[in-house]
Amino acid sequence: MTARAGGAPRTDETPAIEVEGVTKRFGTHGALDDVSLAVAPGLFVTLLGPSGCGKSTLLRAVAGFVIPDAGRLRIGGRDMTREPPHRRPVSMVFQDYALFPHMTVRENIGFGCEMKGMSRAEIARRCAELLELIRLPEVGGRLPEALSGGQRQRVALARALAPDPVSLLLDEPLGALDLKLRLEMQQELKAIQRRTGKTFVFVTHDQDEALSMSDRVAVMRAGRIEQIDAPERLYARPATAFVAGFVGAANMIAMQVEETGAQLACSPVAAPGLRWVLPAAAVSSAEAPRRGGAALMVVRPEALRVGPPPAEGFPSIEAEVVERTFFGGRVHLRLRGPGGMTLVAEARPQDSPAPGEVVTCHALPDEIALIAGDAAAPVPPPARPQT
Amino acid sequence: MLLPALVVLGLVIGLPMLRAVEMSFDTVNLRRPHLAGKLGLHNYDRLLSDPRAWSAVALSALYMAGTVAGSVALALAAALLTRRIVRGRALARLVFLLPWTFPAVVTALVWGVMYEGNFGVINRLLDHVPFIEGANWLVDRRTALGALILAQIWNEFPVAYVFILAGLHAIPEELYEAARIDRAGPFQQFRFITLPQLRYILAVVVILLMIMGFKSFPIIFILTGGGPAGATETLTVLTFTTAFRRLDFSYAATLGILAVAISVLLVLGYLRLVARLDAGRDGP
Repeated sequence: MTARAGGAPRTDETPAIEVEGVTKRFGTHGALDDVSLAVAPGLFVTLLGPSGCGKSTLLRAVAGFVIPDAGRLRIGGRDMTREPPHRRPVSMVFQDYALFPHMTVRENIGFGCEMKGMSRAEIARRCAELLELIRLPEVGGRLPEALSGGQRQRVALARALAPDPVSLLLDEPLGALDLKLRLEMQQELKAIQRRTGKTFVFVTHDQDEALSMSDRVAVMRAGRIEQIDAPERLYARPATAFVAGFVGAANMIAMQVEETGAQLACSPVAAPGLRWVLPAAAVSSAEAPRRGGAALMVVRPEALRVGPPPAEGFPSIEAEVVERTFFGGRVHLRLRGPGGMTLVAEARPQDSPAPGEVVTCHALPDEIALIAGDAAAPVPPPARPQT
Repeated sequence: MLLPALVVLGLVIGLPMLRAVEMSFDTVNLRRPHLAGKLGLHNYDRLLSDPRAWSAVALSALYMAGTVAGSVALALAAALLTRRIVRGRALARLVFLLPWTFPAVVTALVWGVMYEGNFGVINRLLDHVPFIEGANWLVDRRTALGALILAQIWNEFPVAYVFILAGLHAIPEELYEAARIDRAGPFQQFRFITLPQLRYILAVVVILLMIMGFKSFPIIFILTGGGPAGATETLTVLTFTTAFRRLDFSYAATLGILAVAISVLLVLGYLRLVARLDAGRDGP
């Protein structure tokens, strides 16, 4: 599977990181299965997926801690497949920071520069520069144990940036922080990435983190990249059922395709009496729908509107409100449609119907994604509940 | 709840200690029984001007330093060697721990046979090494102490090995990965990560081995008995021979008090170190 994380800035340049058909097995367990990926310079790319999907292994392969069984790996255009970590122009930020506990913050930050053979004056200047960048100029003389979790994380980032790597690899660096600090650090990380202009490859299993920080998100499952795209596109145009379920909440309705062409006609499997017409552009999977074939219609809860459709021919459905959950500025409605179909819609509290009411719901065609072929095959339950 | 333990300790350790202190002020010498009951500081006076006693203290210090340095170096090498191996790890660790299970007497006898001048394995092996000749290891003044130190190292380095191996395993692998990605080679990783991370454990190990080395007796006594010509007569051996060969129990008690004083200083050093480490672990 090949994916390209480029498109926005400087796509004509040599990719900062290029992974080509990389496969890695640990005993009988296949960690990476023919993964290909190209990351354009200066992008913030996130590898997103559930535990055990291979995202950390891919990152460690780029860092040089894992040598692939097959495939090639280029960094800055140079083949680095079998190069040891210290020969690669990358740095890494670890989940548990991996700060040297016996060294001061300044010594930690300067370590890579020292190993690189930089002079003392240069190291001191670089440390001061980075301490300013992470907005902690006063902690240089402290030991890591005297810092808070967020401060340690920033120092780890500064240490990784110190030797001026081409790319920075971040292995779930915010995993150990509490929610409030994590949100702060997300902004901070993104701001630092923008200021330094370096390529960041970030690993997380948190979809919100991935969507809010990244220029591109690569969704991984079982050692393969399912889709790589800009966060907005990934959310609006999921290419597979797994991506639709893993990234954000989604109503996923199994469909039968009846007609293909400029317009697609299809019926929900649970309610064959209904017939919806969608534009061909609604198809978000690589595979085109076939007449009589299966497909999966993806509608985000906020796109499923309560009320009659504004024009005839828009996909709409009658459903009974089963549950109404208040979330402040919005309510979640759990609906039961024909054939036992369960749907979730979002509404403003003042407009929302009460449980027991039967309402008409509709979705605008450009807010619907249709996944056809093998990509529509049902997947194990996603890591996050669809609320 | 502490009281019963204190009573038992008082009876088992305190009373004999008191008796030894009392005896050090007396003149209990079975060769001169008529002097018994003559109290005073004469044994301490004698100690201060006894070159043999101070030579024994110096030999004890040398023996201690040699065993500590050798044991720590060997244990560190063995622990680094067996830390990352996967195949045969259990066997390798068993091999390194085995000498610890040997009673000191057995160690002494085994090394005695190995050091034997005519048919000992060491000289036999040296027959095949050009330019190096065998020696009468335990009989020659120049080699006896070194030979004893080697036997002692073999017997006690597993203690250090266990501590150091545990310490190595406690160092997070990510620190090494961070260092590797920062271009640190194996020697720099050892210097900048392994050694600083082991410093507390090494400090504790050194003091423990110092105490063990200073108290050491059976290997020296069995292999050389303090000879040749006092070349291996450490304080513990001198104390023993003064009491049970020369039957001068009062002077032996005085030497014992000196040994206890030195041991107490070492133990105090150990306790201070442990307290400092505990304080360090509690945070800044």
